[in-house]
Parts: sequence; structure tokens; C-alpha cells
Amino acid sequence: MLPTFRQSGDHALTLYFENKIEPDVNAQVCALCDSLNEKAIRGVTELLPTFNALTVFYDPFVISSKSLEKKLKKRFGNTSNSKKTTKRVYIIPVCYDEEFALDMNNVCAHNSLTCDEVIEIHSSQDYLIYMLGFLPGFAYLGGLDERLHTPRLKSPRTEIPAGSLGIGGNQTGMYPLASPGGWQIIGKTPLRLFDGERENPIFYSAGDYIRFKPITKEEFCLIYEDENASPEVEEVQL
Amino acid sequence: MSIEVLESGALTTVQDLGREGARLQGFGTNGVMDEASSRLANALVGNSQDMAVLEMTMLGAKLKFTESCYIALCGADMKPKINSDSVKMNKTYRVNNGDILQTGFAVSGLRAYLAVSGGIEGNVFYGSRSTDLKCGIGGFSGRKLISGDILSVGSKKGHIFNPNYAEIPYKEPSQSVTVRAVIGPQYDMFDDKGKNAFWFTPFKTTIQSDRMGIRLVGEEISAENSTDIISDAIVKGSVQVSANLQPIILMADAQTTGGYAKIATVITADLPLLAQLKPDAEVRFRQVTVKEAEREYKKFIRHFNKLSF
Repeated sequence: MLPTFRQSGDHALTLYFENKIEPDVNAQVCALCDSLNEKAIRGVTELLPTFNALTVFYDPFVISSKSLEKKLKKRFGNTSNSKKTTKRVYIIPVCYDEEFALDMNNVCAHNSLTCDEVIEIHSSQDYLIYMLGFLPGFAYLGGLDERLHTPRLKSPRTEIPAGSLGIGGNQTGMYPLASPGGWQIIGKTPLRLFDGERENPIFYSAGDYIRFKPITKEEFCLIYEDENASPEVEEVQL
Repeated sequence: MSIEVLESGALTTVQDLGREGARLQGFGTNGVMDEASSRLANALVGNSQDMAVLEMTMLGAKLKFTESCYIALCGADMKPKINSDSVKMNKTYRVNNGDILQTGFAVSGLRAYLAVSGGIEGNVFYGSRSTDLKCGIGGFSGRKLISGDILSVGSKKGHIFNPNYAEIPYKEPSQSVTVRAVIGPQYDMFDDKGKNAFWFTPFKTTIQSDRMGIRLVGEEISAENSTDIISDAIVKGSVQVSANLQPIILMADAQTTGGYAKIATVITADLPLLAQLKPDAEVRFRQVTVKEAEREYKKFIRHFNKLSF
């Protein structure tokens, strides 16, 4: 299916694929994004992939929206549908200890599960990063097991500590920065998900996967003290 | 060369034209709210257009200079004084070691821009010195200025110019503006009544406006269904309509993505008008085509690139 084109102001053009949050749709977005990164169109200044759309920022001095649209259409026709053969998984250590899991009881009660069952289910799968947004490094993850779906808190917290891991409805994710928020907090990672001083301030990108690895409080403290700690990365055959 | 902050004002930050290339990781652009005033101020002191300036909001700062340099103020009129002498907006002045620049409440407009020859230094993050207040990066330690801060000024000489002629007639920023916009990505989600309300009735700015967005109130911009969408990209100028059916114009500190329908996008050339609006100011929207928007963008940039004194 050909994407539809929509303009944003005087220097951004967005291609919308099917209007749904699905790995297949997101894969098309990422494939086009990769193709444009590999072989750039002159005048394109920045690319922003989201769940089901790719926004292409451009310099109107170099290219117009109209000719950019033409070039993108041509490119789209030529993008081979070769599916990726491997996926990159970032393994994020998470401590589900009650000290950090402020709302574990809510998640357990809502789904009639024990705490251990919640941890087991939550940490036993790979989550696709559909996109980054909302906060720097905030990953919108797909594929939360239905058994863990839990409505957001009725009244949001004014501050959730950086590194917190939560569940909001049918989504799960981590807060890279301290922020207000209404998600049910079930753990915390000792990694600095955002560090402006680091060469790469954010570890992962859209299209990568995340797996949560349960750790003890002692392990949490050890990793937390290491400012340069980074997640293990695994290349997995699809 | 440095500048000592004696009084910080209400919200004074280091900003340049903003950060490009880091949206992928979730970093917004930040940067000056009023690009026209910042570009003009830089031109007046012989700087290149992309150098960092101080953006002062509502209540200006009091600053002490340690060496001689050229300065210029543009945007909101904060009744500036050098030592005890009143000085003009949009005009280049030479200050010397020990001179004090005092600015007060904005009597017209909301944001004033101070350019200093050589440019304000600051932390560079993804190629920009703009302050990201939320993440604490860029600019001066990633935060707004407080009294006692010492700002560094670049030594890079700008182009040769004649400071005696560097002046542009000052016009007070209007508190009743019409801004041009192209239809937004989710324009079709709104019904005819909503579209008409948007294009043909005035809106008022509210006190909840800030560097993230300008919140407006007015007639309801009604939609056939909910205005929730699958989150997609936001640009500076995106006009988002949330569940209360009122518009928010997203500005310099906006998030990179959002989950509300966008009815329109204000063109770059008209964003400076919005940056100068106080609460209860009037905003109207006028529709233009993409082609016109692109033409106006080029006109806007060319105008400032041609400015030299």
C-alpha cells in the first residue's frame, strides 16, 4: 500500500502508512527510513520515524515539498521488501524489588497474579521499540502481554524517578528522566537511560528490541555506582 | 571576555536557532522563540545569524560587562539602560569594562533578545548551544540564568561592520496578530464547523502559555470523533487540538511527538509574532498553500541573510 503524504508547515513532509500500531507497519516505516539514510535525497535534513509514519524534514532552499514527494514515491517503489534477518536486543537490567516497584500490588491485584508471576511474564519477551518520543530516550514499546495490562493511576504522580519502569494500559516503558506520569511503576533500572555527557546519550533506536532482565537490589547498587554501565546487546536471528 | 549576571530576570536562557538532528532520540529543537528578533540582534553586532543570544522573558536581566564589545537588543521593549542612560531597541551600542546593562519589565511584547559581538558561549549539545530546560542540557549548565552566573563570550570576530549605522526602526510587537498557516496532517478529522471556527474566529492567548506551547481559547474546534491519534511528529508551529477542542500552538520546547490531531501548522516566518504575545492577546489564522509557505520561508531567511551594517 502506498503511503499518504501530508505536509507540516514549510519544511516537513510526513508519509503515513496504515493507521494502526503493528510491527509490520512500523517495519515499513523503518525500512524507508533506513533507505533514506543509506542513500540520501538532497535537501533532506532530518528523519523522524514514528509508529506508522515517517516525517521528512527538508530545506526549502534545496527542494520543494512537491519534488520531494515525487522522489519519495519513486524511492518507495524501489525499496525492496527484504525483511531483516536479525534483530538487535538491548538487555536492560531491572530491579523489581518493592523499594522501586511502587505499584506492583496494583498490577498483581488487577490481574490476579503473584509478584513473581508478573516479573516472570514481564521479563520473558522482547519488546519492539516502535519509536522514541515524549521524553528524550522514551521508548514506545510494543507487545506487552495481555495478562499484565493495567489501567493508569487515577491521579498521576507529580514525579516519577528516572529509570522507573511502568505499565500504562496496554503499554510498558521506562522513564529516562524524572517526569510526572500516571503509569503503574513495577521496577527500576540502574542504567542511566539518558546521559547528556555520554557520547551516545541514548543507547537504542526505533526498530531495536528491549528485554528486561531481573536483578537483585545488590546487583542494582553495583550497576548504579558504575556511571559508564551500559546494556548488553544481543543480535538474534529472526 | 565575560558577562556577570547581577540579576537574572524572570526566565533568561542561552538560545540559538535550535537543535537539528536529534529528534530521532527524542530531543526537541529548543532555540529562540522569536527567530526574527534574534537574527536581527545578531546582525546588528556583526555576528553570524546562528550565534547564541540571551532570551529574556517578561522581566529582563541586569548584566555587567568585563571588556568592551558591541551589544544590541531586539524584540520586547524592556526599557533598557546602559549605566543610567536609556538606550534604544534595535540599535548597536558599544559597552566597556564595568558597564552595566539594566532591563526591566516588558512594556511591549514578551521576549527580548540580547546579542553580544562574538556570541554567547555555552554548552554545545548536538551542534546547538540552545538550553533544554527539561533535560538540563545545552546553554549555561542546561538551566536558566541566576544571579552570580558568569557567561563567556566568544572571541570570534564577526564581519566588518559600521556600528554607527547599525539601527533599524523599532516597531512594538503587536498584541493582535494574524498568522499564516497551512492545513495540518489531520485536517480532515475536523468537521466544517470546527474548520470554520479555526480559520474565521479569533482566539485569545492564555496564561498557561510558555516555551513549549501557546495555549489559546476561543470557539470549539469540533471534530467528528475523538482528536486522539496514533502519536506522530510535531514541528515548531504545529497547531494541536486536544480533547477540550481548544488549540495549542507548539513552539520551541515542544516534544518531538504528540498524540493529538493537528489542524494546521503556522509558517516559520510568522512564529516570531506568536513569541511576543502576552496573555489575553488576539490570534487569528489565515490559510496559505504549501507553495506560499515555502516561498515565505525563503523570503524570511533571505531578508536576514542580506542584513549587514
